[in-house]
Amino acid sequence: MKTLLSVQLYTQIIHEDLKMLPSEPTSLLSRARHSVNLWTGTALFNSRSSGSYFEYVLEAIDPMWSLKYNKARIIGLRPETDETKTLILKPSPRWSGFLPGQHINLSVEINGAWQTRVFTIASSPNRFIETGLIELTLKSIEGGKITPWLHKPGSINNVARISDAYGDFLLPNSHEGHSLYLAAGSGITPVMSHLRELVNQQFPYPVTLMYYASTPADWIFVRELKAMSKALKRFRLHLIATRDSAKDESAAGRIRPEQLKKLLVKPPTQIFVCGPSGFETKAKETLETLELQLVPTRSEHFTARPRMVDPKLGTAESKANIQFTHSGINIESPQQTTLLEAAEQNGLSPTAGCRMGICHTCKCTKTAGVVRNLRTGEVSGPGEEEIQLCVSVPESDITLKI
Amino acid sequence: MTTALNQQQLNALNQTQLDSLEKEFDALRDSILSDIGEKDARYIKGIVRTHRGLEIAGRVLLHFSLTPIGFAAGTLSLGAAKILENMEIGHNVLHGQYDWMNDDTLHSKTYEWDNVCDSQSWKRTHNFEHHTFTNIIGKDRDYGYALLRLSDDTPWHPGYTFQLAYYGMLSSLFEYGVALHELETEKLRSGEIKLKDKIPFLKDFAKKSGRQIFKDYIFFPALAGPFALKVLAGNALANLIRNYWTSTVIFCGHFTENAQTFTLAECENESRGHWYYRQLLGSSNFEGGRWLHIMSGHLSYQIEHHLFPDIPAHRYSEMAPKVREICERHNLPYNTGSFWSQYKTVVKRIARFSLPGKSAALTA
Repeated sequence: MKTLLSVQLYTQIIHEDLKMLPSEPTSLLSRARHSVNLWTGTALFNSRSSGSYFEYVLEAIDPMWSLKYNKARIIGLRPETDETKTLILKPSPRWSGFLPGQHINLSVEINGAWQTRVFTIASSPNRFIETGLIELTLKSIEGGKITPWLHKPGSINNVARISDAYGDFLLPNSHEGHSLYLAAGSGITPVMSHLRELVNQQFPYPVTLMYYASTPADWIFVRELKAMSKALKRFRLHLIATRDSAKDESAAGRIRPEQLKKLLVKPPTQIFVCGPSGFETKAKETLETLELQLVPTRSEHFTARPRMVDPKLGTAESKANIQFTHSGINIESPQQTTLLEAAEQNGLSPTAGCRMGICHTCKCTKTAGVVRNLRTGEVSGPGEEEIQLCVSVPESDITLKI
Repeated sequence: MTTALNQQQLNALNQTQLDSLEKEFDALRDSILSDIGEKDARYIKGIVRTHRGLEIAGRVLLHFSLTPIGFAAGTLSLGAAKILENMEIGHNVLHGQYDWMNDDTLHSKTYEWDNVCDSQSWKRTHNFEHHTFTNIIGKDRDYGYALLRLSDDTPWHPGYTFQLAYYGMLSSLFEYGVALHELETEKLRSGEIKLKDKIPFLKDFAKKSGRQIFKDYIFFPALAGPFALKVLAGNALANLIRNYWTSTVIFCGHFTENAQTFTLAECENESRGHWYYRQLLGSSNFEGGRWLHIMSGHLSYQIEHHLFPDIPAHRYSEMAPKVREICERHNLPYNTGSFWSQYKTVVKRIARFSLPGKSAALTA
């Protein structure tokens, strides 16, 4: 199974009445503060906020100080499995906290350049309240820019920039019923945040976790999970090694209907699925066979390179003409190359972040042409609009304001 | 001093030589690019901090000064801040020299500078027009700013007689000259374009210049209450200092005695080698100490800047000896001199071409 990491794929199947997102804090004070910041920034400092003007000055005094960013110091690194480590972060007091299952954009400065990726918080809000710490559990991706760097002890004491927490893989706000979690690989991280929070609440409702990984050595948090299931009888744990069928005959192998049927004591009222894309598809199929699919189905995909190439996209040889108007560059680029890659291959460096279509750092104005969004499959209109370079491929000739 | 190349010599470089020039400059570029990183980030952040310090000190001094010395110090500090911001930070950031840092505080897409010129307009007229068509008469609108006659490629008319005075005015209002550059007044006058076409540009100009005027001539003076006039005068002087300096640096970069001009025909379908060659011959450097270079935004290395406009400018000093060596090997001129000697030839050039005559000889 090809697992693209830092790239969990979440699917959520939920009740209709489930509240998805915490309401945005829109207090008068915070809005006023934002307006003042914006006004002073543009009127007096030629910046989008006065925070930009003072950023490097404050950073030199104390790297945790900022009027612009939420900062977090990396204070520790804990090995989990051969491939995964947990990063312990201490966010600045300015950071507004999170709900179990949410993720953040983490930016670190590597050789002078800021690199951004999305990571899920694996620890619980309760732990954050008690200790002021959050934990990200991440797998090192071979050849990656960020994760191998984060895995080295040298990352400790560095100060990162973090976004507000976001994402709607949240705990149900009703304590009725029974939750089933289907997690695979490092898709366990948001589930872990849920479970740790539920432990804190003494499991107000029954929870079953089926956790799939290639071999037992790949189960992350295995000791903690076992301890949880031992201490709390409302939590049922099934650890499944997909490549090691000798371990547990009943549970062995990849996810399939008979296996699920055997292990489920009673039908769940809400189901959470989290894992790489192959697992997600398989899990959905399995649930459908068992007529366990609850409506409405909400899914959120995080996909990244290597991306799926839509067969409709034309062959590798077909090329589109791309015009970068601000740079005065005009190029021919393969139709399967994202606009971000096309720009970079031609010596431009548009601001970019996650490179997987979720942080919107690389948004830029397309003045003409049709693009396909690889993440959503959506085909744009032909006119002027903001597009995300990192997930857009040309469907026609394109003019971009870069 | 190098002698002016005439047209025959200019064409003397054959394609093989141009190709080898291209290869050598590309190799130099790659060697520096591969080394760009933390060192460069540290450098520009240090410059940003120095700028913030100078600007804040300047404004505080102007606000509270009670003596002419305090006033002068405040004015100079603010003027220096504006120069540093426009030259070493703004100009270079807008070239995308620091885009690789992936930091929107210093990214060409979002950066706005302390100048009445809207940064988006600047990127179009400067980064694209001027840097692509450098010194091509009729294409590079920076060449004489559609105001001055700086080569005999431009036909003389009596209006040019007083161009030294125009130059003085352009220098003192340089930021407005730059800001209104995209208005293309020469094309408006000739009827080639209509004012209506320029409405979006004028809107951007009004927005940006309005903001600058508000800041320097309304907000900060008003903050000083009864001392408003003192602050206003200091801010105006600081802007003037910046205008003179930036104009001088720019003029020394392309309008020295031996800086070459090109015709459109020479540059049609040009190779990258020829582009390098044109950048090299159309630009001139001046020499000086570390801070002279920094306050010029390293445009004192105008040759290196034109060859490698998107490489962090503080790297030009280490590239210069290599560029010079390549020039010597290819028997190409490398136009450099002390700041004053270069500036003298700029004034001489403006004076010379204020008068009619086709002779290219600039007499010393």
